[in-house]
Amino acid sequence: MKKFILFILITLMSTGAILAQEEKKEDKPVRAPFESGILIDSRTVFNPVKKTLEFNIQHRFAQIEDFNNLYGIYGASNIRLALNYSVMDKLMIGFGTTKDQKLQDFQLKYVILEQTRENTIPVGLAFYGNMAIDGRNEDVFGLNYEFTNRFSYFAQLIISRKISYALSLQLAPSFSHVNAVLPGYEHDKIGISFNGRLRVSPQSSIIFNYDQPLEIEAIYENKEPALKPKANVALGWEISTSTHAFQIFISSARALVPQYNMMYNTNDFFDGGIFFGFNITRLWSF
Amino acid sequence: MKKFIPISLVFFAVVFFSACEYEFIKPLDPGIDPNEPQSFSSDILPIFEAQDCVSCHSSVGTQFSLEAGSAYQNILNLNLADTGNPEQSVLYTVPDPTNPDQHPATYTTEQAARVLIWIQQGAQNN
Repeated sequence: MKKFILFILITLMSTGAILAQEEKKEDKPVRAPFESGILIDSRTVFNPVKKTLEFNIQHRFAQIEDFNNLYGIYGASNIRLALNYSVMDKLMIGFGTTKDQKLQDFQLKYVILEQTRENTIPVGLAFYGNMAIDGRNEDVFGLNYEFTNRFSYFAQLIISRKISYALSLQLAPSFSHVNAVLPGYEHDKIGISFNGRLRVSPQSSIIFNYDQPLEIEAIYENKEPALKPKANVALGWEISTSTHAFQIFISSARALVPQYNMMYNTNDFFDGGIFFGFNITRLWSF
Repeated sequence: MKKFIPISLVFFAVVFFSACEYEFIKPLDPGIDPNEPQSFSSDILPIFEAQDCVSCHSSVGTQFSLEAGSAYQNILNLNLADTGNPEQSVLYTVPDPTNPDQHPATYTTEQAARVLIWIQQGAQNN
């Protein structure tokens, strides 16, 4: 009988130990690899929880010139206002409107994988896609105008890694397409973005973004394209709370919809093509 | 709700690819006789109003003004209308509808042609 009780006790203890081990092994997603769905000109793997409404204000002043235009602040600016809604924890849909070219964009982000604390999944992975409609006068599209001439697209796979409490990095290959272009220009562009944040205090981070359009001759439509877009370099500072993120930065991109940066950016960061900008993100939970 | 993800992704993919085109823009014929005289006050100034150029280019801001009282003097002073090389004039190239650079306002094809012809005719304050 003693042996039987001992057997039951050992069995229960070992079962308990196994259960405890299993509880330990439950691997949760890492906490906040990024504070906002937007990082300067790029998107992040961060998605607000289900039933959250996100409001984005993206503002870009004119090119920094001199004190007379207060380093671009008095010049003609570009602005984008967007509302995004998290339908599920992993799925966000949204709509935005931009001043330049009167762009109206519809966007979708789906978080495919979340990096976990114990590295069961070592990286985060998300898909971001949008479709934008150019709202300018139809004369811009020339003869044989059709409504679809206004459309442009952007698709991106975002791979992220929260390396430490302070440092999170992202690498994001992308494909941009514009339906109607001038003769000599390209319709498609493959690009790669590299960005991240380095937290320097509980609420503040240094942030950076680099977008490089790739010149791939195999997909050229023209022998020599009329425009080879320049890389977008950006550096800034982020201050965040649980429902707000505020980013202030300098960037060499004026466009606020990513395909227009990848296709048409003519500003060289190292040759004076720099703009002041800021992003504000506000979250409401329902 | 779980069905929502694949349905929305499929919907997005269909929309994404179905309207994907490879068109080249063929500029419109502006339908203006290049010999028709263009007047600054009655043909060119109304364009700056119609395209809302004056919302940024006003005497209040730091951009050069394109308002009725000062527009011609600014165009002259800043050499925005280059009569020696009209097609390279800033007043014509920057808001031209075929310029892919992202200037907030663009002319219509007809307006661009009027501005170009006015410069070719000597950019007079007429």
